[in-house]
Amino acid sequence: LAVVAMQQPTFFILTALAGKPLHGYGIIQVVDELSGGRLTLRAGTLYAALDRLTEDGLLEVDREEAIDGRLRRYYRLTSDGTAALQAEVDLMRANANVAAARLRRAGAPRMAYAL
Amino acid sequence: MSHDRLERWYRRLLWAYPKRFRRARGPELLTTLLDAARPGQQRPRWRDAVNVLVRGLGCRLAVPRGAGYVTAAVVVALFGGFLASVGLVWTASSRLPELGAAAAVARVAVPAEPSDIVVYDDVLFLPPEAPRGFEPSPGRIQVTVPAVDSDVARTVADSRSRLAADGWRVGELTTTGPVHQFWAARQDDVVRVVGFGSVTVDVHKRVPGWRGAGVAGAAAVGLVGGWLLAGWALHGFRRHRLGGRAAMLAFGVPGVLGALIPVGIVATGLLRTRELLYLIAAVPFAAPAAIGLLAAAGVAAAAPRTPPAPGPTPVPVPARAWQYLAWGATAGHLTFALGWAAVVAIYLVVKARTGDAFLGDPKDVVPWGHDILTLLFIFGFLLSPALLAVSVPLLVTGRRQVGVTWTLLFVAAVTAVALPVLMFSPLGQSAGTWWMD
Repeated sequence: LAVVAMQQPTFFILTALAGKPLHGYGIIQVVDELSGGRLTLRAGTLYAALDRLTEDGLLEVDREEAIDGRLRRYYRLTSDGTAALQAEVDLMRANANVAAARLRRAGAPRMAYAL
Repeated sequence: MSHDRLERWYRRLLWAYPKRFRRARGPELLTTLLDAARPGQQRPRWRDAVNVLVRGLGCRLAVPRGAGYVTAAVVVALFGGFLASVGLVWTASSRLPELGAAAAVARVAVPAEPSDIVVYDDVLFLPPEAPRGFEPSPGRIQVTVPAVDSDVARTVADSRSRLAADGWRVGELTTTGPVHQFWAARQDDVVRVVGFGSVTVDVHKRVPGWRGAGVAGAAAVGLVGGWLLAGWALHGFRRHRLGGRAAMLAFGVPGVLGALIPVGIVATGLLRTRELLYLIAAVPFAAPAAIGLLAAAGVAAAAPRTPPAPGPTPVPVPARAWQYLAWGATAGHLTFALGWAAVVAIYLVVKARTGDAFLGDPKDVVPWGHDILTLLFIFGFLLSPALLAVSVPLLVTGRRQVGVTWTLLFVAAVTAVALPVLMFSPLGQSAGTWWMD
């Protein structure tokens, strides 16, 4: 799997689906919630990502529902998807640890945290 | 809450997406867009509309990910730009003045009975250098008139005054040794009058002012068209099973490699001389590539509508495509290298046998295969380096697959660099001169 850092939308989509299978609008809502409103996915962006992630085998279709003639397709993480997200989490944690350690050594203004 | 109007809006916006995407994901994307709508919303918010449009057009322009796919698409796009601009240059360059009109102009320039009228209608005939404002098209009608005055310089000067009086914009009269000449232009016509013993009046059509911009525009349209076509065909490639893919590769790889030849000729020609006629000169080299690419597109059109079922172990397409491309590129490089090596080896053997005496005609020495070797020998210097455009991306993207294929490709690619260098070595030059003479 790629060692390159994931794009934010990709990261949050995988994170959203780590909980349970979701359909398109469900993903948008959960991502909005998980990111504290910082990331508002638009449908076009979401489906470009879903298309790519499905092709890469990180996601798969869980089930389909048709209500009032509307098609809803639910997606879930594959084992590859779980592994990719885990790898990204490890990478972010390692990066964060390195940065935090350097800040500590430099005697960074910890006051900021205290406040 | 009914969103009928909003739904109609979104359905229209979804046309930005290509058909394959609409078929696969259109309904659920529409559902998601409507789910996200506010109660009573009648029209899309502009940011949503722009997002759908941009993503849809992006999807149309997308080629499958992978170095092999992107390389193929870039080459086909360049080839498309080439083909589209050729037609325009042809139209702009193949104009010829009418015979009667040309004779009439010549009579104004030199009022005497012409001794000869010749029509040169070869579009590829490089027009003579002309000052700005007098750019001639390649074709011309040449009227030769015996000098009316024993002094040719005066005849030419008189001719210049007469054309000016007839409403022509005349250029400076220049004299180089015994040659006196000037250019004149009126509306769509350009005339060059040259006095050298007799007087010749060359009547050209002027290069239309729109030629440069027109060619650039056509090239841009062709680039986009070629890219879209390549994307469409490559998506077809991915929907094909092994047989269809093999057929597409069989036609497409030579097509893509062949397309590099006219593109290379035009690129080097334009860089050196800025002469757009290189576009037409490269046309004969484009025919084989066009046939290969069209055949590959035909196979792509026959691709099944749905991709092969994504089973538990998806086909590793990029890896396999990489391998096929690598084999093709290796074979190409090595064929040209072998052609070169064969010519040099034959030269050395013949030289050793005859000593310093006359080496003889290579056709007699190698009656069989002489033509093939000559083709490989000539095109090897052009094509093998051009092939690097394919093999270098392959080497870069496949650097983790350190297997026999990668090593072979690397060695083969090195020959592409070595060939032109060796060509200029003393041995390469003597062998080449002997063979080509």
